[in-house]
Amino acid sequence: MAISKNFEHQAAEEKWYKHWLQKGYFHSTPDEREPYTVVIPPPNVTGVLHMGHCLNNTIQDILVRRARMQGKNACWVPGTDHASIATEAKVVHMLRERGIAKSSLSRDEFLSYAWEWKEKYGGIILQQLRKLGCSLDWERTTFTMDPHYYQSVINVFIDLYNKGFIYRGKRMINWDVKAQTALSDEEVIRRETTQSLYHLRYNIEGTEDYIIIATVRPETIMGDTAICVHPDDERYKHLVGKKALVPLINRAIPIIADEYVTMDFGTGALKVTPAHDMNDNQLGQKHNLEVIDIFNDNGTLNETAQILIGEDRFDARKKIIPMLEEAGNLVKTEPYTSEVGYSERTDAVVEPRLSLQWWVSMKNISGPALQAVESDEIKFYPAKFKNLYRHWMENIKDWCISRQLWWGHRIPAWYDAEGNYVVAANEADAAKIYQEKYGKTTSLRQDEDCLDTWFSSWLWPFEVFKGYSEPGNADVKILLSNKHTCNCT
Amino acid sequence: MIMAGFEYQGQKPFNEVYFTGIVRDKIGRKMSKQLGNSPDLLGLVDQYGADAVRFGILIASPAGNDLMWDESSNEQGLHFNNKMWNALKLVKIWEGRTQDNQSNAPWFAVNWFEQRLRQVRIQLDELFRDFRLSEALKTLYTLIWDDFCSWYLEWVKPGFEQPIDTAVYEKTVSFFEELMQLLHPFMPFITEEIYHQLREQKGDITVSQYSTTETPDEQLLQKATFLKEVITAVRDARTRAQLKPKDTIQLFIQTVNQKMYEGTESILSRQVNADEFAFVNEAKDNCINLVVQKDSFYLQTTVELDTTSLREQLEKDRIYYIGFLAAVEKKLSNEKFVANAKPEVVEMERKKKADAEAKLKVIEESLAKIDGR
Repeated sequence: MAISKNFEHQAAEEKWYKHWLQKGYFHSTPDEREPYTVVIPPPNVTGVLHMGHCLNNTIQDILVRRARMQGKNACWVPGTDHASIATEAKVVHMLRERGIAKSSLSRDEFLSYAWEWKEKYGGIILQQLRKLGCSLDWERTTFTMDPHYYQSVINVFIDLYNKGFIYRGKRMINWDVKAQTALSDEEVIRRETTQSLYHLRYNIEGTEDYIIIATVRPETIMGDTAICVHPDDERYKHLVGKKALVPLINRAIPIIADEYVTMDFGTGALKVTPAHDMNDNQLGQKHNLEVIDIFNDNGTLNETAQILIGEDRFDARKKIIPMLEEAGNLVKTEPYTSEVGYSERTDAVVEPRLSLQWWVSMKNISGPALQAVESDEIKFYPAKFKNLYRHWMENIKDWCISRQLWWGHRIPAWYDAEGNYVVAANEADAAKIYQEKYGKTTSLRQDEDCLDTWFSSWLWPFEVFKGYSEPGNADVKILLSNKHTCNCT
Repeated sequence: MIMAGFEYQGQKPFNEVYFTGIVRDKIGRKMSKQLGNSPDLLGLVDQYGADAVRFGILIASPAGNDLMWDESSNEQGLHFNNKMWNALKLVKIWEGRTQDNQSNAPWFAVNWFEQRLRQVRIQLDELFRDFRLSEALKTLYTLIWDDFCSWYLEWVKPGFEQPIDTAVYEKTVSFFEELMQLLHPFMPFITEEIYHQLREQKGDITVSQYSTTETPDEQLLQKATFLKEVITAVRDARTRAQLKPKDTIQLFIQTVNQKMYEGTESILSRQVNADEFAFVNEAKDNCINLVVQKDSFYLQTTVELDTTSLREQLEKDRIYYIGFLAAVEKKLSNEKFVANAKPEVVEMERKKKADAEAKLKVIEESLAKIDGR
């Protein structure tokens, strides 16, 4: 056979990949050989291959191919996660192009469009991994919304709820006003942003005296419920305990003292808006302050604000400045750079707000996971990442797992008309549990929200082998023999 | 995932977690869609091929550290492809020119490469154990590019239109196969292709099994390292003396350890184009002189030598070694150093001193010869 002048990569790639697949070299079933399993960190079903994927999948392929050539039973499992928010955004976009508004659709109608999108465009990345030569066991391709997977996620929710590790509560969250859903801290990108710092004058009730505060968010003053100063600040000692009047709406709010305030920042006096700032919220809890939420879900001002009702938060900011100036409350304006949170998905400025959501109480389940890494039972390469991991795990906050989206695992909570609820896998179970709990029957409706995508992907390493849905099956027995399992992140 | 593993399987879900670095562009910015500095990966795969792209991203990627990527690392992968492909074409030319039982067959090269492969297998095991994949790829790259293509193939290459010993040819093909096997996880396509081009195969490389590692013969490896050093030094000396490649030389070696040359004489002679090779007990007149480790080499040639440039070079060397020797002697005369340093460090310094003295002696003798003293 004559040899070509140069290596012709396109022909070789096509020929060999097809040949390897035909021979079934990448398919693995448990046998007497030592197992070597790698599960792909599931890329978003909306994903397309980028350099990061290229690096981490090349690394996985090298490890898997070498293990295979060392006589191990190598198994590399492909798949994708359903990427709740990313996919929903793609589907909404597709619908818009067809002239359909999401709001005009029922949940079921929307979901059938979403599945249509997924079948048509989803999982392109898996095709791209073939082009890179990845020796994945395609017969094991898993999707986080496959029926067995979906059911496992729901059952895990129910189990954690029954153990008391999941609760429903009104707490501060990151709100994406554009996607109109809660976000986890990981979905918020912090960026240095230059804004204006406004110095505003609040008059002291019943006197000629006043106090000046500095804020970048003058449009939230209608949600103020206190002004806070440092207890050692000589400038303001005489004002603590008195009441200040919120400009424009003249609501009286207490002046309180707390060491949380930095005396040399701004004027040393802080407006406290517990509904719209994480730190203010904590301060508010400590001092038992009222919480006044002045925003609608879409970031416009609601009736509680009394003024500028219906205006978007940024328009309101522009419009309130001349109003404050006219009323004599604007003292000065200066440029100010600080970190502002943006939604990873929509790039909207994230609005911290109080919201009724579902949460996982992390301290109940994080202990063994920290211990396993500390003791090197699970080894990190490079080992320096242990420190980062320890920092995360020791400072772990409760996890907000509900998302105001439709594409995903629907929260298995069922409500009566009064808002009482039970958690159950399906409507029939829910009715039964409801009757046991409340001693009556009524019509129940399921929670509209779905779960954070990570609430499904955290089951990935074992549910791709049906380790939760079919415990003790042949695949998962090998996995749990733990001879050599490997995961790349 | 770790939390869910403990909660729902009662144990850890995996044993090892490998953290990759962040891919950055050549000025250090993280690659992102927003910055638009993330290349079109499939376009790159089309253009350079999957193997070259895999090579490019991994070669720049020390374990767990961020990597600075730019397109030129794909070029490097492409050059590597070409190097291997050219080696394949060379070997295929020999295929039709085999003859049994050739006298003077370069068996040293074959024996050495066998040991070198053993050595690399052990290194690869260690690197893989620590997930140092970028270093593993670099090791293979050097093994294939330098040791196999630049040295081994040159050593076993038959003369113009000459036959190659059948057994040496067979060995060469199996070395090539082994190299492709070791490289396969990194660059799966070209390795499978070359593997099948080399000869009729029963199976595919992707499921072929590695042989078990064996301890290499260190002495043989040292001998080859020395041989490479000598060849390089003699070639450099030839170049400095402005000899043309076709100009032959007679090579005389003054050494106390003739064993170091056993089996390598014919390779050495061919690689430096020497038509005569002999050991001598004393310095030879009218020769180009050079020293490698403790051995002196005399290159005799019919081409008239430019003694001025030779002299200049020797003078330069002399001044260098005088300075070097002074520095070592200063260190050794420092009582604190001798008393506190590890014995092996002190021993190393003493060896450096002895070597430098030997070199100086040879250089001075050579200078004396040129000057006719």
